[in-house]
Amino acid sequence: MSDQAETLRPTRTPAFEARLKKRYASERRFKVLGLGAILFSVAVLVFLLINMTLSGLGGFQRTELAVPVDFTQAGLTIPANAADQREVVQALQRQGLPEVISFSAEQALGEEGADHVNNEAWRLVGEQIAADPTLLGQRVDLWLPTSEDLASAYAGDGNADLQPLARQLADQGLLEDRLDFGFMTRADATDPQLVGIWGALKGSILTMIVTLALAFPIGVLAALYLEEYAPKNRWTDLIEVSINNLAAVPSIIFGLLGLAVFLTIFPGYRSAPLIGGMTLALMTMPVIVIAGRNAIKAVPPSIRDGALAIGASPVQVVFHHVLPLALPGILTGTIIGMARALGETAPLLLIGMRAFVATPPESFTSNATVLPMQIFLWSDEIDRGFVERTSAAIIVLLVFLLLMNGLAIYLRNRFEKRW
Amino acid sequence: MSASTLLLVVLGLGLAGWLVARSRAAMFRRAASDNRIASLPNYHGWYAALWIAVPALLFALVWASISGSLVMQSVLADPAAADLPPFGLQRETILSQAQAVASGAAQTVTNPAANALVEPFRRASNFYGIIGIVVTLLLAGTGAAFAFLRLKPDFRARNRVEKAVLGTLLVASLVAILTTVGIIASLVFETIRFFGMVSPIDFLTGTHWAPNPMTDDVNPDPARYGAVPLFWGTFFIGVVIAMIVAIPLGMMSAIYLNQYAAPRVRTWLKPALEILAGVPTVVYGYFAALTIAPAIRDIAMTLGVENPSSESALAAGLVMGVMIIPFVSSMADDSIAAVPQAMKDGSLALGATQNETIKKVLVPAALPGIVAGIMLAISRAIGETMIVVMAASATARLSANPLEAMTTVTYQIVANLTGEASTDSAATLAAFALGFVLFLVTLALNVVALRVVKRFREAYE
Amino acid sequence: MSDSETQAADAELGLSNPSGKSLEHENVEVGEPKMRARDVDVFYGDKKAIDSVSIDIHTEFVTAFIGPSGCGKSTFLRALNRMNDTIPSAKVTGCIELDGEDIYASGMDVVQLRARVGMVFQKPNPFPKSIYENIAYGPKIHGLVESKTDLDEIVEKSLRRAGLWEEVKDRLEDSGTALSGGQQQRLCIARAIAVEPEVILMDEPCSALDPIATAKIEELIDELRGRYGIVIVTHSMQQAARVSQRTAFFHLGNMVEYGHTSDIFTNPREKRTQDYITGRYG
Repeated sequence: MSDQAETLRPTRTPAFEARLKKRYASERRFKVLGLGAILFSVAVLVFLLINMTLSGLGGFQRTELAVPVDFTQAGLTIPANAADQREVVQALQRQGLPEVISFSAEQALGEEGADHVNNEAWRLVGEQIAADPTLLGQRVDLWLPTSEDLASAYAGDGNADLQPLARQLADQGLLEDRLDFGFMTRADATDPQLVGIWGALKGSILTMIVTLALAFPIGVLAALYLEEYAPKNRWTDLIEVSINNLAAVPSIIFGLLGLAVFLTIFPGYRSAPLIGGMTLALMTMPVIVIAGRNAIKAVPPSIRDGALAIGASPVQVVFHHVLPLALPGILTGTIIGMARALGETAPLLLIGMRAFVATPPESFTSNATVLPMQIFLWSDEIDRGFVERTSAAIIVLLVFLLLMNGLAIYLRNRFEKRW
Repeated sequence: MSASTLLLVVLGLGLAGWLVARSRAAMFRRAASDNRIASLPNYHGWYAALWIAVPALLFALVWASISGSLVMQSVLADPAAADLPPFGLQRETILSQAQAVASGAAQTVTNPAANALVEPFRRASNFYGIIGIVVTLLLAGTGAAFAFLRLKPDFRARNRVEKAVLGTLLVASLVAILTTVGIIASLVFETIRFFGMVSPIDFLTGTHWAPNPMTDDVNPDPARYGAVPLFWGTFFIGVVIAMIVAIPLGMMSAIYLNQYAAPRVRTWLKPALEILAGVPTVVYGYFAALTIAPAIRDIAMTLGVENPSSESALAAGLVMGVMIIPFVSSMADDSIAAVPQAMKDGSLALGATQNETIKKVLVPAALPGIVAGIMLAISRAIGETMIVVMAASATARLSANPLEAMTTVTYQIVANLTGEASTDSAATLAAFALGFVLFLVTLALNVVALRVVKRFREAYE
Repeated sequence: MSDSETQAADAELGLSNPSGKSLEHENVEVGEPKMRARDVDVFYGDKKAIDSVSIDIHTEFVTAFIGPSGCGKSTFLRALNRMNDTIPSAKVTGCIELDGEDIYASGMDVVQLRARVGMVFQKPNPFPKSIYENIAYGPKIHGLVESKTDLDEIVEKSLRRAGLWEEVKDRLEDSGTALSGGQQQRLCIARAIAVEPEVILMDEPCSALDPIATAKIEELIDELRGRYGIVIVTHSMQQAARVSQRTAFFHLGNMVEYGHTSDIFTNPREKRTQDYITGRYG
């Protein structure tokens, strides 16, 4: 109360208040900086996704020409003894299916247009006939893929000479971009009009099966051992250091290991899902071990005590009580590890899974490629058609990854500890 | 009998053993005076099944991996093999065609020289196949006999089965050590071979990198294997450029998420960062090569830079930095969250503003954890492959200009291993030497960082 | 307070015994002890947590371990069914016998031992499984039953003995963790009973429970007496007085005094016991 002017506390002086204002300003700036930083990341993510989606949507389409074909006049028959699709198509080829198609195309599009029906178009028609033989008794309006050149001319680049033709055909309603369901069922090809993603997708699935079959049991068992049974000694320390380090080692090193070890033992299986899966399993295993240990650690010790006290053996305690309770956490970690393996390219590059694979792999030992590798291979192609196809493949890959991550998040929320 | 039928037969025998031992144990139990036996029937079953299936399957596995080379050996010992060319692609083709026909995978051979070898192949593989089957079944039978002789009412089958389970767990955890040993062994082995051709000093201090797989394999020119430009490129892209992007953005993101964001905002932003972290590197690489690199070249051009590279270090580094942001952010987030609330309260109670508290108290207290996180981030960045393979260049160059093309260690590993070079050429071995350097550097970073993180967590527990 | 003091006094006189069983036998001849501990030391690393304890556990009555916290009573309890084995640094020396068999002998199967000497913990720890599965688990792993009917019977019998049957018989498939704290603890007791142990060790079974639930558990303990040897660790002297017939007082790792509960509470021989009973420290 008394002698205010004299004993004004330092925190009540005008100078302090002025400083305070500055401090608040700096506080606001700092906060905005933080928000800006995180919004930057979000913006990059959004930009990336939109960018991929816009150019990728074109990848699910292909430029096609309308060609009516009158099979009733063609005199084609399906031989009775044809065992499978391949033989039917071969027989149709011998009977002159390619000529029928090019003749019909000439009728519909004129000579110049017919030149730009894709060279392999007859094969697609043949496959359609094999699937539905009644076509041979009908007049059908077919949409056939164009040549690579006409497709890029239609898209507005490539050969300038072809652009008037493309415009003319498009005006007549004979040329347009149509949804290409075959993209999801075909395999790699040299012509972007004919490529598909199924070959790589199947390769990825086969590889992931091998990875899961190896990494999951080994990872879970190792986690159980380290968390529940391992004595505290130097061996255990060594195992722990190994696992933590393996989880952080660059993936390309695993490729070198696969190349030097697996391909030396199984030289015949270069670019087979089996070897790729084994290599990725070594990479995924430490991730599963670490996630598994955390999940096992989270199971309260009272559960173990309770089971031990009624005379369950240590093995029974773990397999009847601890493992079931830790399983959701282990599964979450496993899915995240598998998602990482699914998007991994570098180690597979080294063990040779970059082969050109025109037919979907049949088994774990046949030549195969995987989705991210397909993206890498296509990204090297200069043709505009491949740019869109690459983005489309990226969308397929991202959808799979999002599904897996979504499943992991769902599991985490659904089964979060109940004790 | 094919491999899969054999597998099924052995598993079937195991199942049969399981059922028989189980019902026999139930019989023991009914016969026992107090209706008790030492172990449950199920454990009797497992004991028998394990003895039947495990040794047999282990043998079958080993046999499957060595019988191929045994067959090959006996085929090569056959007189018909005398006409084979001593080495090279043709020899391989003839052998693999003969093998394909012999195993029924192919109908005919294109190379007539293979015809003579079909029969020896068929004979040898039949011979070794029968040995494999007979020994496998013998082992299964012996295992069964042994198990059933030991299964008595007072036999503690549970303890035996559980020992086997524990053994399996131990073996599973040894896989990690085996992997590490495998990595080190294969890298060291090939690196030593490489250093036999090019001295380590030339490799580690030379400044000219231009391996040529087409030149003399045995005596490569050591002057072409100077890796310094690669180390520089890796450092410049992965540590300088990427970290200039990732550290400030990652740190600020972490601070915002941890200290400012409302819980609702946090629940949306954190997963967004996780998604960013989950995008495969091949997608980042594609993005860098197709979108960022041309954009940077165009910008450089408008700024008057002459001949900017379309494979600039800047493009690869920037995208790599973005890729690392979530990583830095989550490590920093964890470290800041580990600082006790009391410390923060102490600062706030003195009248410090939030950002003063963060800068002066929280971040310094969390610093060891943050630094360790950055070390792990660097270890990731320098090992990152796809972004540089797709967006960086093959040209090795010592330059501090981010607009110039540069190459990295990982790029060269891929380039030298996916090229046409034979497995013994200096270029191929150089890739392993580079891999070894990369492994040692990342190992050092990881071990130090993990130790710092551990100590840091313990300090606040 | 006064209420429990009266109870303690009643117990001493044998008046407030809920089951109405006479405590006459305190003075009658008792048979061979079920468990016998001689010169037992327990170490945690280098630290000696229990120093040379010798005690007999009889089936005929409830034995209470009392003492201030950290006195080692729980440690000693866990030594009786080798639960200390789960702590890597713990080491037990001396001799503990169950029916004359050394439980630390190399031939002793620890699994079987724990089936014979059951345990109930401080915090109820039902398995996150159904009530039925919680009880059935023990009989299943020990192979005590041949058929589902047998198992149903054991589950019902155990729950009845634990006084829980009427409360849960319509929801046996509900999770054990959904029960109230007191019910959970009785479930844990039922779980221990289901494997027909010879001794049940209870480590402060009521410390996490409210008074009503505590009373139920105490009632239950009294009903179980005679069928099972019961050892209860408690920090509540009133509880020891209410449920036990023998009491051991632990202090700083030593067993200071052991005797008839009534003697310990009314006429302790040792000064330290007296000080603790009268609340000088605790």
